Amino acid sequence: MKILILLKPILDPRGMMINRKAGKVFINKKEWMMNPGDARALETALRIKNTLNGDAVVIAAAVGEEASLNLLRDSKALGVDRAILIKADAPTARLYSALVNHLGDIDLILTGGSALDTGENIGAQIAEPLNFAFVGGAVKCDIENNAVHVVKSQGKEFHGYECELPAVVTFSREAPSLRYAHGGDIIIAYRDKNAVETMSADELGLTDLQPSIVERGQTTPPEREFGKQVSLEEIATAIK
Amino acid sequence: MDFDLPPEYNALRKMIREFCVEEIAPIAHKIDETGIVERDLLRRLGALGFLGVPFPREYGGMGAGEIGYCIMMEEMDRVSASVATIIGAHIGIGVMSMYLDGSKSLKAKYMPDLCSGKKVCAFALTEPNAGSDAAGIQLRATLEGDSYMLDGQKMWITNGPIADVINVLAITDPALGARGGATVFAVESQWEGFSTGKPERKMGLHGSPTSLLNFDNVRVPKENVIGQIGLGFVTFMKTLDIGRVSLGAATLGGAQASLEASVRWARTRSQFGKQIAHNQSIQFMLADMAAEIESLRALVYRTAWLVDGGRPFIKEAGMCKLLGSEIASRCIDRAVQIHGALGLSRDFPMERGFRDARISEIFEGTNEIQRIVIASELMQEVGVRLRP
Repeated sequence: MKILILLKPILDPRGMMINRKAGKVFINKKEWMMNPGDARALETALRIKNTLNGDAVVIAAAVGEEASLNLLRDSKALGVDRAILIKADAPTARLYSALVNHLGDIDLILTGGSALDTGENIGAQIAEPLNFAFVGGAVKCDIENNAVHVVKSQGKEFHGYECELPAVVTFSREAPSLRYAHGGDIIIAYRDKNAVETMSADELGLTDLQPSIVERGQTTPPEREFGKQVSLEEIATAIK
Repeated sequence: MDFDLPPEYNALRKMIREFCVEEIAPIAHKIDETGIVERDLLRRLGALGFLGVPFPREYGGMGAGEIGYCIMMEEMDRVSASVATIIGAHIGIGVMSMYLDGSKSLKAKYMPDLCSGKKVCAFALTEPNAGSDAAGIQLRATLEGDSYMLDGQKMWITNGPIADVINVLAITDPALGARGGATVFAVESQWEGFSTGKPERKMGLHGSPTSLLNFDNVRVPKENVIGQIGLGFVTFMKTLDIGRVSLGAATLGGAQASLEASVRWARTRSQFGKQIAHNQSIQFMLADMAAEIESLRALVYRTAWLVDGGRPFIKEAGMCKLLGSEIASRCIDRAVQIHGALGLSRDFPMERGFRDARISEIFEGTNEIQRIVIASELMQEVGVRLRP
């Protein structure tokens, strides 16, 4: 059983302020954190590894530089077996599907739903080129008899899904939150220079990568206008 | 010069802060009101390595050194001084005295349980007639066959009522007194003859239990002697020297919390049609707090770096405790002033912080003792010995 977790660092929104008048986002404190959905995917992978009594290899992957490297070290401290950093500009479906083909035999890919910053849903994007089954917005995920059982929360109800492996599952923020790492494991993971393997896009056979996102500027959405409060009688007359 | 902490310490601080803010801050008020810190919380702290930060992994610790320990104490005191004091007495002086001078077998026997939160440690020095004059202790240990019989009393022992292992300084040779005739023993609380008094009612630190300890002919086997017989006073003084650094770190956390709360409040509260942050009187108080806290932070982490590097640190450790406790008291006092009437409210953390800060000027060597320590180190540099 090989499980791949895709992690993405995002800027901690607690360190930002949005000024509508100036139409700008001010970053008061530049701190990176793990995308909340990805953190829940990681927690679920660790739980699956636990229930399978270690009969699973959990691999964490991230794209980028220092912030991604630190996420991978954190995941290593939490008990992930392998951590792979891909040196490239931005995480794309092409990059990740090339990684999956490079690693081979991946049974399950877990990641967060839409990212908190850009809103892109990398899980859905890679399921297509890899031809994996896809379930989004999971709150719970188990492995049983070579099939993945997923519980999704939809409105006030919970729906159960089952699909065959290999599959991609993305997590909503209602899934169990990430555990804390033992402090000693953090120290070891950060001091170990070989804790995280690095790969370049070239090594994955991608030589013509273009940046997927170009920042042209910042604007805020238009100010919302208050609606009009109407009485039931007014609605009744309007319908007539 | 590099003032950046290595990335592992930043990651450690992030984890510790997250745990403190998510798990301890919401119950800090309840801990102060009820005076109870659940054993389950200590076990959870132990499972993450919080109860053995400076000790090596082989003894069940975190292996993060004094710097890691200072980070943990700073973050812990930022949310709850009571929990920080329990941990401080447990690691900083309790387990530390065993780690510094204990035999390998003694460390292997107790430290894994102590570092994992299964057991809590305490450090017993103060007696009814010996406080700042630590050499005046009277608790007597007499040799009887293969073991020592401990008889006497200890007072004001932090963690006393909840401790499972207590490191006690006792007089083994009354002719020599404390210097040359005192020995440290590791005593288990379930041994016959040991009992604790009722928890003291204190001004602050309500969640950190303190009590009297009674030793009524407690039989302690010879293997439980920490260090050499007769040199217990040296062990305890060494332990106290190192404990002052983390105590400074704890006061740093308390002061930082008061500054953060004051900055938030200065932004929120409006008077005379503007935020009170626009008043110079408030700005001056905030600036003084920030400047003092920054100087303390530099001192604390430099001293921790000295400890980890195996360099002399006694003078700086005394300064950490002296400056830290006074800066924390001043900062929380200003924070109460900035908060106005709400600073006095039991429903706001300022009132708890104010009560909790005062003790730092007293325990683990009063600030007057710290001045003597610093002065004697200063004089030693020019060849004058002040301390006997």
